[in-house]
Amino acid sequence: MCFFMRNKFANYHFRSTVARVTFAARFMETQDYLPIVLQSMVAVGFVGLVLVVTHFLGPRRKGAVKDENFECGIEIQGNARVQFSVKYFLTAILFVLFDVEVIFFYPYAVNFKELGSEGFIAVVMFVTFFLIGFFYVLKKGALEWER
Amino acid sequence: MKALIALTILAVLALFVGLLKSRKLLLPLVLLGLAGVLALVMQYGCQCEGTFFHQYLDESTYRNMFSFDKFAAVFAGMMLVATLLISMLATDGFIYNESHRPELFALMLFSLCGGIVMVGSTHLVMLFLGIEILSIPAYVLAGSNQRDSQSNEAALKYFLMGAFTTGILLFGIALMYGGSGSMSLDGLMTYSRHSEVSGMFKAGMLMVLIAMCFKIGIAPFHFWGPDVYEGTPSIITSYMATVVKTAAIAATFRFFAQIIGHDAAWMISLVWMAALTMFIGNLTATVQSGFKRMLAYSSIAHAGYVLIAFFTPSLQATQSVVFYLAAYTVATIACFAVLIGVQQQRKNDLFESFNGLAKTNPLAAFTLTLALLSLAGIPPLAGFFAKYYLFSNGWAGYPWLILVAIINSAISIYYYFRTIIAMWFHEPTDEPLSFSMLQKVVLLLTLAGLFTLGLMPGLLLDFLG
Repeated sequence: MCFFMRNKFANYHFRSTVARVTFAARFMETQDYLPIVLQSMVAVGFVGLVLVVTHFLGPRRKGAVKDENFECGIEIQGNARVQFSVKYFLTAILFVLFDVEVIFFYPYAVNFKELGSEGFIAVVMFVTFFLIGFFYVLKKGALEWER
Repeated sequence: MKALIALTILAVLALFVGLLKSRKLLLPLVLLGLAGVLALVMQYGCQCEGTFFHQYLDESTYRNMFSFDKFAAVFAGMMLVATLLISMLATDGFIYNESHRPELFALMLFSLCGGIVMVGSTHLVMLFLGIEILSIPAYVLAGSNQRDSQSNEAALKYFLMGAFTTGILLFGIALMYGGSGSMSLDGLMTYSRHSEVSGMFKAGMLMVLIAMCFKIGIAPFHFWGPDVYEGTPSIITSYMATVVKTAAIAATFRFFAQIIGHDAAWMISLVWMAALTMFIGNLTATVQSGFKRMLAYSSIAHAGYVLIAFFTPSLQATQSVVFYLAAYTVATIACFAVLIGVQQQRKNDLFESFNGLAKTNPLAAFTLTLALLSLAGIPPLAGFFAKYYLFSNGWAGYPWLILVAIINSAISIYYYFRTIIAMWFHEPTDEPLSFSMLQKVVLLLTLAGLFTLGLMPGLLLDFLG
């Protein structure tokens, strides 16, 4: 729809006088937001529609067995909310940190020659900060799996 | 700027002291380090010439993003003094999480770095960065008592509220940039003097102001305050009530006092918010049964008083903000110094726990009494002169607001006196509290501060020019 309108106005442009061109351009500017409005209306409308429609279409069966958390024939034992140590979590967080560091290296590597010694000093400072952090993490024993 | 770098290094050093076997080095390092940074700031502040703000375009402004001028130096110095005093309380204050003491110190210092960035920022991006550097360690500190569900609750509430606020702030900054084409302070100032300020700019400024009011705790954006202050470990609460509040108020003042002061539309809404904040803070504080929650509401009320200075932007108004926050900070730290002792040994902070403190612990009771009197604004103390400067400057703007503020000061006397009466006229029910050497030093220092600021306000005001 959006493309169609643009073409229409482009033709209008072509044939009209200068004053009309500016008017059309300004009109197109506001027109550009129309797809966004349409998109959000469709998104909200679809969600609302589906919510309402499923309510009417789906069969309704209720019962003690049907309403159980895991309806799979086996009786539930205990609570699912138990504490367990997520060692992997810390490793994952550290990975994200150092991954970001590596991402910063790419643009530096591309511009290595242009940035010269000043850029090199900046990057060395950046890496030093990270190394301090890495040293701290290491000393704190965050990477000792068997603890 | 040197001070900022030194402070960051100090925080990293504090972290690494934690790796050593012995931690005896930690407290001396932090105290000496903070004193050194304070000396740097003072030395720089004395060199600064001219009035507070107008130093944007010289070499020291870091491409118009950060200016360590007199305004920044004064507030940075104040926050450093506050952190120094709080660090002295930390021997007893951090006892709930002994194993992470160096990390707690380091987080506090990192957060302080953010505060200094905030008060020195002359660019919306730096303001945002400062707020984040200040807030993120504060979220962690709020939840640093992992075994306590209240501390966890406080951290979660603080974090969620803070995250939403950050979103609103960023959206506002984007709209302000869209409207004015500039994010630097002088660009915004020039633009806001235009006869035609675009609606986008106004919407953006509204959102940024809402976010800042959240951070300061101005009604109707104060709801997170009491819950967070109450649940957070007391020593961290003292940090939040003094340093975080000072930084947020100073940054808001620097950015918006000029813009607000020249536009009646902003003024009128903020005047009402100030009145509302005073009433909500003071009236709710009267019905509290816990000392800490009462202090939380009183800190909301004090933020309301400070707003008065926003309506008559001038050098005097700036001075009155500085003086008011200095008096408030000293008195608040004195209150928390006693509260930490009471909470640890009586296991609660009800007013009954303060019964008979004058007989058992005269020094603590005396200091707390004077601190509360200063917060209420009783004459020979710092709080009276702070209120006097603030109100006499504000009289030119909105006289009725000053009347509201005076009525509220009268209300506040009621709840401050509840503790004083409990300490002096009730019989002690428990054995005496024991205060450590450092706690006593803090009590004496705050006592000296209350009297010095009250009897010789010239000392601070002369420095301000």
